[in-house]
Amino acid sequence: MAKMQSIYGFTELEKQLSSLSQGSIEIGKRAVRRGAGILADQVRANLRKNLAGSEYSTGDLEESLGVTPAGVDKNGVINAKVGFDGYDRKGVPNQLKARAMESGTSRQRKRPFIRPAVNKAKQKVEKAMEQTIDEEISKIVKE
Amino acid sequence: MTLQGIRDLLLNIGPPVFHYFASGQTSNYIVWAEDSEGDSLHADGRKTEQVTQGTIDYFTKTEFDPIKEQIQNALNDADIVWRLNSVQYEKDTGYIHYEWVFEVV
Repeated sequence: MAKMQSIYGFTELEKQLSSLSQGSIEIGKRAVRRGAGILADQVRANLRKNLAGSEYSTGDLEESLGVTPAGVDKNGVINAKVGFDGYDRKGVPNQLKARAMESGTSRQRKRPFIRPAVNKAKQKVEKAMEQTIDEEISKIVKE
Repeated sequence: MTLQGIRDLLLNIGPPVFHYFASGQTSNYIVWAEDSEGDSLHADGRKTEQVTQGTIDYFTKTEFDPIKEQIQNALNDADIVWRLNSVQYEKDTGYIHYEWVFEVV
């Protein structure tokens, strides 16, 4: 004959799951922020390599590199952008300079630094984001 | 497909083909370059399959240039993974610049 066994802790589990659900967007944003930071560092490192020894480099392009705050798009995807903003001291858009360096022009040899940065940092970013999510979930579950 | 295979495939299309960079061109031309590693495969602490990523650039002054399609068809026929990464118009030179990213194993 089957025996009924008592299982305790459902109330706590329900509370934890509820907290997880409420905090999931914030956890996701933290993870994305951390990942985007790692990617930005790799982009910066590649950019410095490209500009090393250049007599024309002013540092304006590197200064304009940044990460947007993490947000949620209309499809519910949490994201942040790593990119360039503003204009250099001569009034040239930094995005244009970055694009010319990345893709080249008929007059300028390409020196890709963003796509290779994504390739190189991808695994590190994924691990860091996974770790952040695990840490944040553990905090909630322990509470 | 090897990198030499990419070169040979592009040489068959028609316009002059250059590796890494071309200067002093006034007509249409193609430039290709390998530049980084894609999603390679690893097993047992070894790299088992290396994926090389690179770009193909086509510079043309012809609007709706059919060679753009020819390049894409040639990549498809050779089973090469690719995507059109950007299209830019150079106001000062009049060049339309198509850029594809490819991957070969």
